[in-house]
Amino acid sequence: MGGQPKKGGVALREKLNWLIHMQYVRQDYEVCLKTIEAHLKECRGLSEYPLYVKAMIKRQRGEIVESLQLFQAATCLNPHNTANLKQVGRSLYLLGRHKAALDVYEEALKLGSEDWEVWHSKGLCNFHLKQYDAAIECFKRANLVQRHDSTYMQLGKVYTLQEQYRTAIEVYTEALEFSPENPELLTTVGLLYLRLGENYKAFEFLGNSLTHDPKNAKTILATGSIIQDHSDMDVALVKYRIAAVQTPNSAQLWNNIGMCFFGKQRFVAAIACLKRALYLDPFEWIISYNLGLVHLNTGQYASAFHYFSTSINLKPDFPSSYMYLAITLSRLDDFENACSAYDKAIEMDEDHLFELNYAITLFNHDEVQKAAKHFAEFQKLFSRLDDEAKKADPEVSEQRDALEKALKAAIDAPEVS
Amino acid sequence: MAQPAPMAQPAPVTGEQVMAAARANEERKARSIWLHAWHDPVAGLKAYSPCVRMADISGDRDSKLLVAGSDRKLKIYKGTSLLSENVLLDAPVSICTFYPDANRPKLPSVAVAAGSNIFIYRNLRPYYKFPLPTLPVSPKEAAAWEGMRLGRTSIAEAKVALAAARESGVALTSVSQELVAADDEASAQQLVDEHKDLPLIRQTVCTCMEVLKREMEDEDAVSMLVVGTESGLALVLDPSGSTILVNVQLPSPPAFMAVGGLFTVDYRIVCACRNGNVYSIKNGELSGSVIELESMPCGLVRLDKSILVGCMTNVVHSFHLKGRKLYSIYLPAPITCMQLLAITKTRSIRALLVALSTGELRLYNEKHVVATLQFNEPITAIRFGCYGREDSALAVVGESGALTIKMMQRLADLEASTTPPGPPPEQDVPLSIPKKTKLYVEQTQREREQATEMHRVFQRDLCKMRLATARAYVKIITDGQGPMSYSAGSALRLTAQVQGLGPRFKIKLELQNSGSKVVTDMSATFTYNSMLYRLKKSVFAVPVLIPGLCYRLDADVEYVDENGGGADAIRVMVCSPKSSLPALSAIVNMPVSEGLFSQY
Amino acid sequence: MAAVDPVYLALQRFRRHRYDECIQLCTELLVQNPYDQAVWYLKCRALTMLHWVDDTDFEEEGVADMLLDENATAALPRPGTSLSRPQTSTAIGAPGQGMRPLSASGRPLSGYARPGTGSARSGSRGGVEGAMQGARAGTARPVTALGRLVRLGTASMLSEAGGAFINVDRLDLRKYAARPALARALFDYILYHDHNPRKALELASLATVQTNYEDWWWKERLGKCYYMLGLFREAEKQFASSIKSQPMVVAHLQLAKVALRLDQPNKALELYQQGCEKFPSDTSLMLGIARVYEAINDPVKSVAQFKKVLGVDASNVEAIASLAAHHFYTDQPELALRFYRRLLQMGVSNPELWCNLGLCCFYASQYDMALSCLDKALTLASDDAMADVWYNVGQVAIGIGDLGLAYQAFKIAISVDSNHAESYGNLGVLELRKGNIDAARASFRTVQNLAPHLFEPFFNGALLAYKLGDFQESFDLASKALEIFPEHHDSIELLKLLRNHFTLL
Repeated sequence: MGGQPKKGGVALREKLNWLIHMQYVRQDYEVCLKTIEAHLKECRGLSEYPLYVKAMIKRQRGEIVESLQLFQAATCLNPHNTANLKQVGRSLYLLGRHKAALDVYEEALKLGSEDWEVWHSKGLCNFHLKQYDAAIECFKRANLVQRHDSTYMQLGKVYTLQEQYRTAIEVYTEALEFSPENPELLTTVGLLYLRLGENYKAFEFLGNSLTHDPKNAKTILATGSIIQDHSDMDVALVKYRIAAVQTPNSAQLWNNIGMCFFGKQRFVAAIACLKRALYLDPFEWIISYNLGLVHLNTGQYASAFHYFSTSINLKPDFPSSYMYLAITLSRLDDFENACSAYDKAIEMDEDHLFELNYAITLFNHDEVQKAAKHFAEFQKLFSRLDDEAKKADPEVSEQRDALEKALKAAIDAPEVS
Repeated sequence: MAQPAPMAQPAPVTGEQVMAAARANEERKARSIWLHAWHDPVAGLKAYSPCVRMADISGDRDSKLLVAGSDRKLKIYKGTSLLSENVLLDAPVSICTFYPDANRPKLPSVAVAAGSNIFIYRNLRPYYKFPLPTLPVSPKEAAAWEGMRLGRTSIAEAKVALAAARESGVALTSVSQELVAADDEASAQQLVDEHKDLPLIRQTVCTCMEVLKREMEDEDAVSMLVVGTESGLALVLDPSGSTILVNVQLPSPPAFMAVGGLFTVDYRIVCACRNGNVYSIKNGELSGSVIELESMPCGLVRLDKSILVGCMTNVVHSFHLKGRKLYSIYLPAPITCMQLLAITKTRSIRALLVALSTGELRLYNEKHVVATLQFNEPITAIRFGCYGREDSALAVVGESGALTIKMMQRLADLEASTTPPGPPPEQDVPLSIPKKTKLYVEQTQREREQATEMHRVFQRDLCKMRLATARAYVKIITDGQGPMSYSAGSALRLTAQVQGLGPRFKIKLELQNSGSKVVTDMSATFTYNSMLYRLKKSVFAVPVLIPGLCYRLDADVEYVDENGGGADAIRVMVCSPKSSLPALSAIVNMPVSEGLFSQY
Repeated sequence: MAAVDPVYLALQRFRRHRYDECIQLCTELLVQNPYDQAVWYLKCRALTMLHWVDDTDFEEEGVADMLLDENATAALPRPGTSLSRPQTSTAIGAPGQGMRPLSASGRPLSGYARPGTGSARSGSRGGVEGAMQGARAGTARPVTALGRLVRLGTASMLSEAGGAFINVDRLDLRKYAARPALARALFDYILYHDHNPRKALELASLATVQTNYEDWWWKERLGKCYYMLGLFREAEKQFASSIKSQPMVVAHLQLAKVALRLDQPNKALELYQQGCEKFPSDTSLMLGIARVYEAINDPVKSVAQFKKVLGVDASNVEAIASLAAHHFYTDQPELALRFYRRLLQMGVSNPELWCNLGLCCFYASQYDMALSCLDKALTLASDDAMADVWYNVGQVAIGIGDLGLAYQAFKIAISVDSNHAESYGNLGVLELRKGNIDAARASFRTVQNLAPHLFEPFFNGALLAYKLGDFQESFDLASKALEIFPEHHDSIELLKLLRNHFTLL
């Protein structure tokens, strides 16, 4: 539909703006572009709003450079429209030219456009320039103008990056008061709590998020892992099914599924799933670590060694890997290396399990004196634990009693060479 | 309402079956709410929601469907047939029906907003034209034209003056805009000649139009038009549609309006504007509470005390009238239309209809989906209202111009289920756990028995492999072999490709500096079997390599052996004057050359 | 000892496939007696056999065919109905693109390199540049005209300095057509030795007339001539008619080949099926079905078919290799190991096999053999396989977490074959882990140019660009990744994030 020429052949340039806008917001870009092109042809490319929308569409399609040029053309037609200026800034931001974008926003502020958008965008630029304090300041000001989920999300992200998890949680909680059903916010808070080790709270938020967006793979994974921690493997597996339809190639998903089967003592299935996970993401140390654990359980020590050493290669600062490596090595009759692995683990962290296992290994290789020493160390660490932790693993006390007896017998026995 | 008894289903086996069952279930539920009435695939309608209305225009209690298409035709449907077709004067922006007076029989007028005018039809005959008020012309602009009219200023001077006025933020009339933009003198002269004696007017166009009741809520009570314009005005006209009662300036042109209340008592006009903000006008005053959205609004519905705004980020936000956010509905696809579903007569229901670009039409009660209808094309317009004698009819216009009418079941259960929705159907799709064979178990057995042995052999082999790799690696570094170089802190990369069938070939080299420092003084050269090949130029001086840029060199190679059919490798080397070893090299395996038969 | 009758000797040589000697003997005999028909016949056969090509196999398409494909009917055929557009979504139970890498033609990596499948079909790679690059790894040379036939033809012209044995142009074909035995020998000679399908066609049509259009052999040969001349519809008619006279495996194979050439995989399947009904235990027909299924990306059916082939012929290399590859990519390396071992027992010994064995051993936790197999592969490998072997050494190194070793191995792979895309890709990931962002970016870019059929480098590049805040590049790359692998979840998520950025005010 073309505008009809009016008196003296001058068409009203704004005549089709409503239509262009309508087609644009319906995201019917093909049709919209056609309307725009026809209209621009009619007024020789000199109509501000069609240019503006065309630029917006170009951006949606990922052609940001073209979009920037169009915004600049629109700015030429109407230099006092801050909307154009803001879009120029945003294009620069999207192109990764954050400094230039900041300058443009400064100018927009000078023109008296004090609104949420400018502050929010300034915050984003600062964030990408790694000027975190300035970013926080900007986001806060944006929120003063008007509160928005996205501002809260970004603010929380800045705090998370700075490892101020508590502050981040506060920000997110405030955001949740404002929009209590945003699944993304809920999941983010849940994950933060999970990181802080507050599983109960994490579960609450994640569960809440799932009721609103039951198919979010990330949420499902996090929820499933908490359920798994409570040994409710079947429930977790059912949850993972949903995620598996969405993300069949997610290494984390297969890792978790594998560990579910491990918990159910179905070792073959566990290994199969974990191997798939490893195939999908060979750089993830935790998968190797888990595979090591499963293989240790099935008595495949060569594989177990292989996976533990991979895990250590990829993440050298996780002490438990060393302990398990040591156990594996001792099963592979490599006593010497086993000892050094134990030493390494103990050097990195104090843990009663390290000491106990070291003692057992030493004892099995007739190093009774050393065994007794590490056993004593274990007793010391163990006694420091609270009651709940002591009872957590009955196997520990069993082993302790057995070793204690054996040690006593060995020390008491006259030394016979 | 009685649900059909669930059929006995065989246990789901595959994921597809599970998902198909879930879809079938969804369809069944939709059928229990919507009854299919009529579908005309070739209605050929091209209209958006504002141009589709339902009203009892002939006063016979048989409501009609009015569609004003972009083809400038006003089509009126009665039942399943096209009642009449009127030609419009201009492409319509929006149409409305309103009752101008309380006289009986009560016959509504039809208002068609198009361009700068609102055309009012009574009994489907043109009755009155209301032109939108013109906007003030700035004195600067007027002065420029005055000067031209009197011949005091030249056209060029006027152009400069007008452009300067525009720079300083003055909104120009379209004639002036045209003049500023005119690039040759002849057309400018013509423009000025045509216009200098006409009065300067700055027109605006209508962007949206709704109806506001005057003093009674009744369906056929006296009502008045509310019009939004491109210049950012919101106007309330008197019932006859001839004078402006209220005139409010908005910061940006309104795109959607939602009107509620009574003019004489208390009314509120909510406007979603093109700058992405939602303003509200309360009793003729622009209220201070503004809703700033994160993305463009693409639909606006007022539902009792709340405003529902659909955004381009595929989300519908619900705000309290005062601006507080209530809740958000996250959708899987872009929103194409939003419409209010209100039933007042038989029972009181108010719900939200949302059409998505996937052709899905969802019905929301609060934030819960009550029913979904699937159309096989994107929807351009929806309207819910009274059609024929049916109180709750839904008209849907598809992208292809098809018209569909659905009726709502009288007893349809639109209550949002209070229990949270059950687990998604995906939950029943079994996991595809990799299968392991007996063979695997046997092999694990072997490992269990010979773990130590295996471990040692592997470690030994690993050492050997490391040694072999390290040797090979050292060799490529010291020989300058390989297409990447890290010597002298620069990282160069070379790719070579050969093109052609022979006897002439072209070797295309691409050199890239992926480091951070500029590299200078390099040269590229070739070693080849001179019995087989001849190169026009075998040493190339490489220009200064700036990080990140890709440099191309083409070398022409000719195969010269008379017997033909042979091939050899050509080695490309990039050397720096500082070292006797090439910085990097690549081997190009030349293809067998096709002989030139015309040689003899 | 008295001299053996030279004609008998020549005959014996012929039977023992010692064609060169046979030809030499015949030439001497013919010098003595140019009109000895038996010797002439023998020489004719021997020359033909020397240049025999099994033309039931599918051949590489030449540059000309790729660029000037007149048989392409639709530019965008429905998935599954054309070889140029294999089904994108994988069938249930088959490994997806995320698990099994694709070859340049958009199909899962096959376990067996056969002609005609490696190249992307016309149009899909686009333009002259693509066609000229050649399909086979290692060489950059495209195949000109009807691949093998022409190349062998030029070779024969070089070797035969003393003038041609038969000057076809001077022969009175009508005379020969009346003598069936001679005519057949002569025909094969013209077709396979002289590569003169036009002349051959003349002879065949004369002979067909002589036999009242009833001889399947002549009709099949007629079809062959038409096929070589690029007249596929005529060829199809002749093959069909030949089958009607007398169903033969060869004619079925040829007919299906024509269908494939016309890009009608479903029809080819049907033809193979018909053939299979008549010749239920013929492996070449079954293999044909399996290949077509593989080409249209239906691995489940193709695997079933390969299994059937193995049931009939337990030592079919193609079937074994294909099954092995399938099992390897469906998380069953132990089964793949079995199949590869079988190949080894059958006497196949090449670097690819040893490399595959090593990988299978490694992934099936048979560690004691894994590295020695790879070592063997390294010693056996020539230049073109070397890069692949080093690449796999790198993979194993990643598997044991020794990233330094992996880095070195990939570097070596690249130095051997500067166009080894996969190595560049992994090198990029390793660089990224080391924090060398620029190097990683450059690596990804290189792979994107070298191997536009892999989605990983595009996605990796997109992710990196996103993290660096360059949304434009990220968007472009992610869109490209999705073009290649439309179901890739991570790319979809990334694009969603980006779109979100774009739609905000």
